[in-house]
Order: sequence, then C-alpha cells, then structure tokens
Amino acid sequence: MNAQILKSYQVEDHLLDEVFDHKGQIRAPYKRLYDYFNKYGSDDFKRVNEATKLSFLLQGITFATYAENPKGTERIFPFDLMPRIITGSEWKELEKGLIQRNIAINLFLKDIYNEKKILKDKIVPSELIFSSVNYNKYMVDFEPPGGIYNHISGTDLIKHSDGNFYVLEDNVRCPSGVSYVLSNRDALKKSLSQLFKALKVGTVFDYPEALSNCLHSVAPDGVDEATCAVLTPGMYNSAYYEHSFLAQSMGLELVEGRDLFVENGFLYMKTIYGQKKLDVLYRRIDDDFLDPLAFNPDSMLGVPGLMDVYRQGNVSLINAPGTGASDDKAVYSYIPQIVKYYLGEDPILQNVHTYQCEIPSEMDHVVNNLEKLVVKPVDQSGGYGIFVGSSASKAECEEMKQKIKQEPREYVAQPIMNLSSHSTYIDDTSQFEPRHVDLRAFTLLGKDYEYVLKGGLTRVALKRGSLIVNSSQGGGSKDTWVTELD
Amino acid sequence: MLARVADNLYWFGRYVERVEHLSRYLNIQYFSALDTTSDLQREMALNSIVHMVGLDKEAENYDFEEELLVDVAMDEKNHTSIKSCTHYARENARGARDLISIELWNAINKFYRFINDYPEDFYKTQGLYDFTNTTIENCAIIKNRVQSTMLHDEIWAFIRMGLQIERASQICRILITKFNDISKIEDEKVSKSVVSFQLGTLLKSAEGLDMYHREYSILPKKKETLEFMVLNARFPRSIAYNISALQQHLLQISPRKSTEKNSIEWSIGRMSEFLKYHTVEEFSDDPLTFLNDTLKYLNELNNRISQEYLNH
Repeated sequence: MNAQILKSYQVEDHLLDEVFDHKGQIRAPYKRLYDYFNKYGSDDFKRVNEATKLSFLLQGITFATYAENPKGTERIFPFDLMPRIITGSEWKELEKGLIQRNIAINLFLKDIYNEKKILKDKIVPSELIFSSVNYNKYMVDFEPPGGIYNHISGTDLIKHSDGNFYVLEDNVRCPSGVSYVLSNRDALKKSLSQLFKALKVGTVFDYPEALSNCLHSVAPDGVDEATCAVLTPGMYNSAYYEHSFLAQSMGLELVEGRDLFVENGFLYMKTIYGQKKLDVLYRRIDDDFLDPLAFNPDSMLGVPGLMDVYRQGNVSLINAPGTGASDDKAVYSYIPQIVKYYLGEDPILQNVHTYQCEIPSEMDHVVNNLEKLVVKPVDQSGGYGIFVGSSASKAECEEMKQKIKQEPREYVAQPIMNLSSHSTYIDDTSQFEPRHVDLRAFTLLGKDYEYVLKGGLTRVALKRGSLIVNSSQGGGSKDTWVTELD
Repeated sequence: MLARVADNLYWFGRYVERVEHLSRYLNIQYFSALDTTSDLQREMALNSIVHMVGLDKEAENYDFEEELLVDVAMDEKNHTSIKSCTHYARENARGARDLISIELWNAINKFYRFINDYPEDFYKTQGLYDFTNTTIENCAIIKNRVQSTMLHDEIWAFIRMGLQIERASQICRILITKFNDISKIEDEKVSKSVVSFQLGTLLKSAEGLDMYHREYSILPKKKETLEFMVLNARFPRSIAYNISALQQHLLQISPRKSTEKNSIEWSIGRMSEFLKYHTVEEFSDDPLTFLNDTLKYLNELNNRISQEYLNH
C-alpha cells in the first residue's frame, strides 16, 4: 500500500486497529508487510486485487445464497489481499485455550447425556439443558466411539480494545469456513510470495491430513481400515464447494443421503459395483435432517435408520448428534465454570460477559440498558436476529423489550464489544479503510488426538461500522498468518 | 465409486462432446451457406442446424435468422441449446467435483463462465464465429485435461464412455441429416459439385475433410465419405473407431472376468466386430436405414449402461 492508497486511512480513536496504533504508526508485526505493500502503486494494487478475485470465480470457489437470490447466482466470498497477522506468542496462548475449552465442552456433552453430574451438582441449571431444543434424546445413555462428541469445533473470537482475545461463540455442530482458509492462503501465496518466507508463516495445508487422522481415530470398534465419507446436502447447498473440497483433499467419497442406505444394522453406499459399507461419516447436514425415521420425517437429505446404526456402534458420526446442547448462547455463559468443573483449571480464554434474560435480575438490567447491549436469540446462527441496541430506534427497542419479557429463555445479551478493526481494501473507493474483524478458529479432537489449525478464518464486516461478519450477511474474509516472529 | 457420481461423470462426457459437435455444426453449416446463391441451400443449412440441435420449430417459421441462431446457441429455456448443454456439463462435473482433477474442473468452469457471460447482441451481429470457435477450443482443452490430468482408472473410463457414445451418436446424426439433405438436392437434379460441396461440409463438421483427402486423394464422394465416417478404423471420429474405444472402456469398468452371452460387453463386442468386417457396399445403396439402425443401437446401449452401472 503506498502513500496514495493509505492517504485517507483514518484510525478510529475509540477502536483497536490491529495494523496501526492510535497515533497512526504501523505496529511492529506489520512493518515488513507495510514496506512490501509500499512497492505497489494504487493501480497495480487494484489490478492484483481484481486478478485474484477473478481467479476465485474461475476456480468456482463460490457460494450461492438461495434465500435472497432464487436463481442461485454464484458469488465469491469477498476476500482481502491484506492478511491479518497473529504473533507466535499470542497464538500459543490461543491454541492452549482452544484445546482446553473444547476438551471441557466434550466432557460436558458426555456428562449431560450420561451421568449428568454437573447438573446434579447444580453448576449448570438442568432446566437450561433439558429445555434446549438441541438436547437430543437419541444420545441419552450412549457414548460415541472414542468418547468424542465435538470432533470439529469452530470457535469465534474477537479482539477487544484491551488487546485480549475473547470467545464470542462456540460452534460445535457443523462449523464451516475452513476451505476458505486454504483457498485464501493459496491466493495470497501467489501474490505475496516473498513475504511468507520473511515472516515465517505457519502452514494451514496440514488441515485435510489432520481431519483425516481425526476421522480414522474414532472409527467403530473392530474396524481396522475404516471407510470414511463426507455427507453433503448436495450441490445446491451454499457450502457445497467446501464439502467437495474436503472430500477431495482427504481422498474420500462425497456422498448424499440418496447414495446411502441401511441394511442389517450397517450403513452402505451404492456404488457402481453394488453396496459398500461405510464406517465413518463426516456429515455436513444438521441433526434434524440426518434420519427421517428419528427426526424430521420430511427430510430428503438424510438416511432412514441411520440413528439405529449409530446407536449400535456400527458407524461414527462427525460431529456427534446433540452437540448443539452445548453451543447455544445461553449455555455459553457457563463455559468458564464448565472448564473449571471438569479440568480443575482456570479458563485460559475469557468469555464476553453475558446476561441471561431468564434470570430476573439480569433481565431487568438488560431491558433497562438496551442501548448499550447486543441482544441475541440463543438458538440462531449466521448472524440472524441480532439486535444492536446502539443503532436501534425507540420503537425497535420497545419491541425487543416485549419479546424478551415474553420469552426470556430465548435471549441473551452482551455489552457492545468493540471488535478490533483491521485495514481492509475496499473495492468501491480503491482504498484501505478500517473494518471490524473477528476470528473463527478450528479445533479438532479425536481419540488421543488434538489439533488446532494455525490461524483460522478472519471474517470482515464489509459494511462500514457494521459488527456482523457472517458471509450470508455481506461479510468477507482475510488470510490469517501466524508468524514465528514476535 | 458411487453410482450417482458415475452417472455425473458419464453425462459430463456426453455433454462436453455434444457442445463441441453442436458448435462445430452451427459454425460449419452457417458459414458454408453464406456465399451460396441458392435459397434452397441456405434454407437447408438452417434447417439442418435446427434438426441437429433438436428445436421444435422449422427454419421457415422464424422471421429473423438471428432468432434461430440465438435459440440454437444461447436460449436457456431450450434444453438442447449450446448454453444449456454447457450448463449441464458443468453441473455434472460439479456433482463429481471431488473426483476430477483441479485442472479439469478449472477448464470446465472457465468455459462455463465464458458461455454465461457472452453478450447476446454481439453474438447475433458479429460473434457467431468467435462464439462457436472459442467453444470448440474450450472443449478440446477440457478433453485434454481429461486425458492428461486424470488417472486412467474407472472414473476416467466413465467420462470417456460418455464422450465416445456421444461422439458416435452425433456422427450418426450428422450423417443422417446430411444424407437426407443430399437426397433432397438430388431430387432437384443439381450438379455433382453441389453434392460434393455438401459432403465436404459433412466431413468438416466432423473435422475430417483433411484426413479424408489424405485417405482417398479425391473430392468427397458419397460412398467414400460413408466408408470413411462409418468404418475407418484409424479415424477417431468414425463410428467404428468410437464403438471399439467404447468397448475397451466398458471392459475396463466391467467387474466380470469373462464375457457372458447377452451382457453389455458381449453386445458391444459383437457390434465392434460387425463393423470391422462390414463393407461399405453392403449399405451404401440405402445408408439411411443402416444409420438409423446404428443410432437405435447406440440409444439401447446407453440405456443398458444406465441400468447396469448408473442406477441409483
């Protein structure tokens, strides 16, 4: 980025900018990057930016959202050439914290579906768990192969203006986005090749192997050479690119529900030479659609009888059904206690303080301070239904208050956190401007196996001032570099 | 391999080959008729395009030639247009996205974007040559990626089977269409050079005119053209060549150790041997009956492949 591109770059006083300090000076980890970008003229930069976008389109690294776009026109996931840098020491803490948190969530899941000790000890209120629509009765008194529930976790983190990372959300159902990490990296390697060496950036391309190790580690008992597959809802799903990418990079079959059937307690796929037994299914469809006999009877995506095969221990499902009972936004606020309860350790990663609307004193605080809070429905994902008090009208605030009072279990509230911002290249102005970012980190747990993807997906809220980073709502992404240098 | 995915691969092969043939046919027929003064030949060329693509409407029912040309190439509602077939080729490749090479996928996807973004107005007025020619080149690139970036295993064999059966069928249809045209102009008692010209466009439509010259050293004649396009064992666009290649691919995917009577392998083996020892004299008096029977055989073969391997 040369003087021209950065001419009007404004550091916003009250926010943490990850690239520049509040005086507008470049921060140390970004120094080399800054010098490198300086070599570009603004026209050259524009050209590189457009060439990179085109390459995504031509490679079909796209998604389609059918809700707002019935024709399903494909779009690329907006991507920024300026990477985000996380230093080695910062990352080490994060990595430890992520493993700790996700192991604790796993123990919690095992407990609430079996002995229920944490509920009996009243650390977590049992109503909270049993009232959750995601508490899956098919999982009661059952332990999945290897004792693992949340094989793949996507933990959403933000960097607050105090400079620390906080967990905003746990995603332990079917977290997505990892393919963008790899394709962003691929694109940046081509355009910023010299920087990678200079900054000693950690690789992300070990993810498919790590995932494959994870899948094989939890094969059903007695299966030596497990046949694994990725289950997709099909190519009209918005994340189909990711499903096919993962299957391809692990060398597994990409199956749909209609390719599978259950016979004599085992799961099979229909091949050109007849049936073949499947042992491990990395499913990218929600619990409700897995098995029309057990859950949603109208589902065309799943496999009738799958849950019976699962309960008999003849197939492993990745992630286990019912993990949603641990990642809703109401349970989230108990995670620090959950970590302490199972591991006897202080949590390394902090939560954003969360008010439970079902607790009367907290609800009072929420309804009286709406303008300073973000209210979230406990059971929505994708950034839907989020209410930001500071930008809502009086009427909207009033409406929200009524909703909270009617169904307190459905809502939690958090102080409006100042997500850090990061210089981001904006097409419309051909300039770098600050935009809010978060970080989705990917953790894998298998039988005696732990792995954290180095870096993760930095998501960018492309609308100026917006805090919502989800791709379905106009978010973009950045490559995230974990550098060995500090 | 999943039967559904095998179906995707097979149809991917069929659609790519179809797009190539439709584009070339449109290109050759349209431009060959431009400098003829005979209205009959002009209309015949347009009708011939309409029949190859399988439009419902005859050429004389179009007020403007441009509309016909748009319907053939770019109409998304017409399932047989070049644009639709390209779309289906890509959808099928997408359904098998995890099994094909990145290079192949990029080639098909890049081609799809080219077709999708091609401006209709430009196509109507001056882009027909560019559109069809770029399409043909892209199909060649895609097929090169199939050959040079994929393992030659059963995944590859399904794509090749689709390509080969489609090519044999398209060649058969070109022959039927052009021999129909020729019998019509013969009824009009036209000169021999007109017939030879029509045979020349037929051979060009299969990219075979130059190789025909090398094989026979004479201007295109009916019997020689038939022999070349149907029976020549060394010309990759002849029906016999493609049936023989199809047989090899079928044997590659067949789980059977020996060829059982009445199996698909047996049937295609018989057809392949039949063409090997057939002579052009045996059908040159009534080529249309022979060609229609061959096309019918290819359709039945397609059904049997679907039932046996692609049923899901």
